[in-house]
Amino acid sequence: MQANEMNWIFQFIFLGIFFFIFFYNQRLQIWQMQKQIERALFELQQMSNEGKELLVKLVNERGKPKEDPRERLQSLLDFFTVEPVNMDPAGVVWRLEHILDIRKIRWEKEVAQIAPAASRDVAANIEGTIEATMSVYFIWKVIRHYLLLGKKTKSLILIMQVQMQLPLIMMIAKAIFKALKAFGSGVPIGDGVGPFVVSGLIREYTKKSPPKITKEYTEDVTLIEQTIEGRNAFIVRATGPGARVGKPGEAIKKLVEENNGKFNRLIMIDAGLKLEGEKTGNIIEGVGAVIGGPGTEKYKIEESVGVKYQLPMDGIVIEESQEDAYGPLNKDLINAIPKAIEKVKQYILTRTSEGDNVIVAGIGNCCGIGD
Amino acid sequence: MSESTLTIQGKILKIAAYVLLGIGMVFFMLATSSIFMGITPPFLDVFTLFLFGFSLVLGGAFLLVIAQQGILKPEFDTISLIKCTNTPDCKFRKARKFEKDDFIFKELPEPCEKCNSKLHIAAILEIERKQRTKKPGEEKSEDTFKQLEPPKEPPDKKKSKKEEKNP
Repeated sequence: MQANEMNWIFQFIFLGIFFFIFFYNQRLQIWQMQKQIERALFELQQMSNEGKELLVKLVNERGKPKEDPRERLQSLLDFFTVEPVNMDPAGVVWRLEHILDIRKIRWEKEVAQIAPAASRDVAANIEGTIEATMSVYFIWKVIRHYLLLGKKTKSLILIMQVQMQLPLIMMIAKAIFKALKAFGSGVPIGDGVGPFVVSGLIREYTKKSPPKITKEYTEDVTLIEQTIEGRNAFIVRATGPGARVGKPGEAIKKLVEENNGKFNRLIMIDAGLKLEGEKTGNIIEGVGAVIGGPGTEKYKIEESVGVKYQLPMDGIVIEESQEDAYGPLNKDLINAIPKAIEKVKQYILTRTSEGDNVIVAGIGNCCGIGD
Repeated sequence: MSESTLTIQGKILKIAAYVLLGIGMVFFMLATSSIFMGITPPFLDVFTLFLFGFSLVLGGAFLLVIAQQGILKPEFDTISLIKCTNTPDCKFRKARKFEKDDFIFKELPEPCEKCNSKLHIAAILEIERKQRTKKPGEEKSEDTFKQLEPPKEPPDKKKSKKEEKNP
């Protein structure tokens, strides 16, 4: 074959490719994005299936169910909670709280039925594992929905939106999957640094001042009264070592109202999401009710401590990424604990006087962190 | 898979894959320029250029798939760090693999080896398992735990002992 003929062949191939890309570039793009979503979906399905298996194993091992729990667990994974209507926002916090309460009671009963032999702490861990499995399963379902809808309608916008958000979605899914594993085995997670700090503080002063412990001061919350540097400290945290967050807002509100607001300061310690580029375990300080969640607990603190009694509220936040918050504690967070304890002590020493009453609240999930 | 979830080997593999892909693309470009513009580098004809380019791109893509599939994901161990309740007077501490029903501040039944006080779990954390070649019969967890254990002897003492042996 002569070089001239070869050139013709290559020219022909080149033109063919050119026109193909000219007319079908969008289809190619959709196909490429679909493949990326399908890969992610496969990974999500694997996570979801692994989570379900882990859950069944945990329930069988610790709960000793009378029958196979798979069917009941599957129906729990599809469980839904309808948020209250917010067109008329007045009283929406209490309506939301009611919904969350009945959801919690329902879940506790379900877990008690599925795992009758589980202790209170193990039952809390099972609840946490179900919730994390449900989240991963839900992410998988939503991504699958958009992928199938995109394929059905051949809509670039649907596929593109999912594909563009995929790295963030996968990051969240992987973080929740880490939490799932942690709850299943009772390993403390990064979100638990708040209770860890306050319990560390209590232990530092135990020899000087034996703490007075009131278990179940409010539901799932422990109150510890102790003298710290001559101040009367009222320490609030969720009851451990089960995976609970309790209702710290309710406990603080009750405490303040029982004592007619005779407190000088509220110090809250919690884990907070860091921005990219910031270091895990970095301790920052500020003011306000440092508490996450659906907002009901924050509202109670702001209403009682803030509006009604005008008490100053300080916040100490240990910064961490979403992966750190959901995943097991790591070296950076463990190293931050003594520094945070020092910070709380410094707050108590510099912002209150001897004989003052001060509330110290450690906010977070107490999975694997004893009282 | 994000960069942060890859091990150092994974990252090196990814860089190598990009290098191979880049060189492969250069060969492809040379082949195309040779066809359309008649500029052919010495010693290499069009088909050799295409063959080299294709092989390198294929090799690069293969390495990229290996690096991105998470085969080289770092592995972690969950450790329970045990301390004496008499801390800081007693400096005893040890690390062991996390066991079922372990939790932070749990008091352990066995007493402290140094002062006979109670032991408790001071922390539970996850640490990366070190990537290294394992010697036959060696416990792989040993190295991981050492990261959290205090040095048994100050480094100066060790040095002086060595010097005594080999003056």
